[in-house]
Amino acid sequence: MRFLKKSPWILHYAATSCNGCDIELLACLTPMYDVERFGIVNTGNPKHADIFLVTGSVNEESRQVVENLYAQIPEPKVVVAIGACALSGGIFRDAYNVYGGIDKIIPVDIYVPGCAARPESIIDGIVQALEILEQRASERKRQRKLVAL
Amino acid sequence: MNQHETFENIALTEWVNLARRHQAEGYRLVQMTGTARADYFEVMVSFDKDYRCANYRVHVPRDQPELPSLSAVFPASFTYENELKDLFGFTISGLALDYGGNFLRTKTKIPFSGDVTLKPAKSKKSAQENS
Amino acid sequence: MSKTTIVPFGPQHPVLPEPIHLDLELDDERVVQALPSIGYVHRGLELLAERHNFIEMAQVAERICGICSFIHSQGYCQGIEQLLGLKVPPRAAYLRTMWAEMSRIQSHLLWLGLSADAFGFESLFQHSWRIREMLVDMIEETTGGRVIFGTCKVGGIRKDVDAETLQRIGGKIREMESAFNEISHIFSIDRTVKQRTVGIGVLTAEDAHALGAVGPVLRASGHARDLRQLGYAAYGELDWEPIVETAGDCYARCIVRLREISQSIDLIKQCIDRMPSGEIEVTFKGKRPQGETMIRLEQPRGEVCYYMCANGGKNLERFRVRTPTFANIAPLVHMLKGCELADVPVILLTIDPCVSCNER
Repeated sequence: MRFLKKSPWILHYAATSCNGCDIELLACLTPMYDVERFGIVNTGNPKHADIFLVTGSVNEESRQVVENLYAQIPEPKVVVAIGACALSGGIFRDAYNVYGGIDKIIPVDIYVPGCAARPESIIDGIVQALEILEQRASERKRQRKLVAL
Repeated sequence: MNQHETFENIALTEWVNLARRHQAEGYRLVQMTGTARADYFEVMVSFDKDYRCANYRVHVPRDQPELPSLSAVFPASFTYENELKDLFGFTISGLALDYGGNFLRTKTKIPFSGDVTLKPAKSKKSAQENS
Repeated sequence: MSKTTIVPFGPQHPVLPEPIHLDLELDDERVVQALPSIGYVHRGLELLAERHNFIEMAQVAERICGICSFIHSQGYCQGIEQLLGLKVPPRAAYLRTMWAEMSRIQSHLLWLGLSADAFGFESLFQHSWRIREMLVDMIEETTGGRVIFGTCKVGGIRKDVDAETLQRIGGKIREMESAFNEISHIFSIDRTVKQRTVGIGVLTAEDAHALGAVGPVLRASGHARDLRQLGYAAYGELDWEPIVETAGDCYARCIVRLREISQSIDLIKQCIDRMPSGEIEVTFKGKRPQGETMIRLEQPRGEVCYYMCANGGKNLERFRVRTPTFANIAPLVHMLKGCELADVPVILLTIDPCVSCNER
């Protein structure tokens, strides 16, 4: 599973984000920050993805979508919550249609703070996610070996 | 910085005629919105021509939130009317494209009706903060 | 009469950075009807006016949308200032205009990149975002934020920009302009772009008016209607004309936005040249908003309306936002009728949908 560390593919979903974090995330993919130099590719298909990036808090409609997308990403996977809303609901935590942070719905591994989160911190979050991904991959490998024995 | 706004109250029976008159005069539908007042709903519609905006309001009784649709006059009104339906619980008669309450699906039904406000669990704390 | 198929489009879709869902009823490859359904980003922030007082609410208003962020807070503050009877000092008005135009350029460049991506023109996407970064740098230099500016407040602005910085911005914007002209030229003459956009999704002038289209969608159909002509902030004192195209197709909408970027660059230059000196805010200690008002502004995507109603309390009684994308849904549904399935993403993107604005 070494290849994961070299080219993780990311899936992005804007739950109820205000777009601020989404455009910063897209900015990471473009020439100025260019995460593609690390082999990180943005994919539209959850089945190709390793890292799930969620921006914005969870509301009634996006709840199911987030759950579905999470279920469709193959193991091992890592979830990164980006921005104040994804962490806790942010400025919208009191609004009637907002459940709160992403971790109310799916397990979150990395929290990237900021409103809006800066591209540098998003990249930092993804790099930390890589380590977790690597750990999970080797753990799975170990378990497979145990089963094989 | 005057944006030439006028607010005018009209009768509910005038609602469609008013829209028809404005449409004939070349006005454009700007927006429709509702406001929950203590004992009635207020629905406001805005028309615009040459940067002048005319706003009209009707009072709709709370126990019978019904409004005739403007979609025969202004086709674009269906988005606003579906929104009124979903957020305020209006019944819109003659709606051209009816989503049946599924245009804006929300956690709490008809949240803008004035009875539902923000999250109850936290409202106590903020009430203390505000006072 | 053949059987129709319903194809769901979204909410998670490669061309969409944001979730919107369309049910496309197809007869072979042709769209018979498109039914949008929204609610994926609905937060209900209009009701937050009950929780936050009228000064704090400017921050919430700014976060209606991260792309048109500054103009949202500007509109909110203008409304409150109208209710309070305040007049913003000229320097604040000019700086607001400058930031609003920066916001417009970054939004249009962002859109340009996304639509190039939708045509399958990846390198143009990367180039327009490269240029957008130059602008975001200028925003960061003057406000401190990259997407959420946070500089607009009731009564004026929060942060002054010194003469030296303004001069530097003036130099940078010229640099950006020459870089932009390069890709603008490619965008307007390229065969790939033209093949995907010319004659696609035509909205006639009559339909645009009848369906209540706003912003570049309306202007691409031959209506010279730009809310900045109301002369709010400093627009009344600057030299500019609304940009109009007549074809009404996707290509015309692209060209309107391209020309608007050049226009905004020019407006920023004018702002810097004519920047008045003086105070940046007025005080309104103890005053509370009273009455009601309807404020309309021109956002990158078109006309935005704010209805505010206050009764002299700390909190607004009703805060209502009608965003441009909401007004453009009806024209979108109309344009999608009869188009090819492959053109759906292109048509959808040329209205420049901003879903989080749309659903609030």
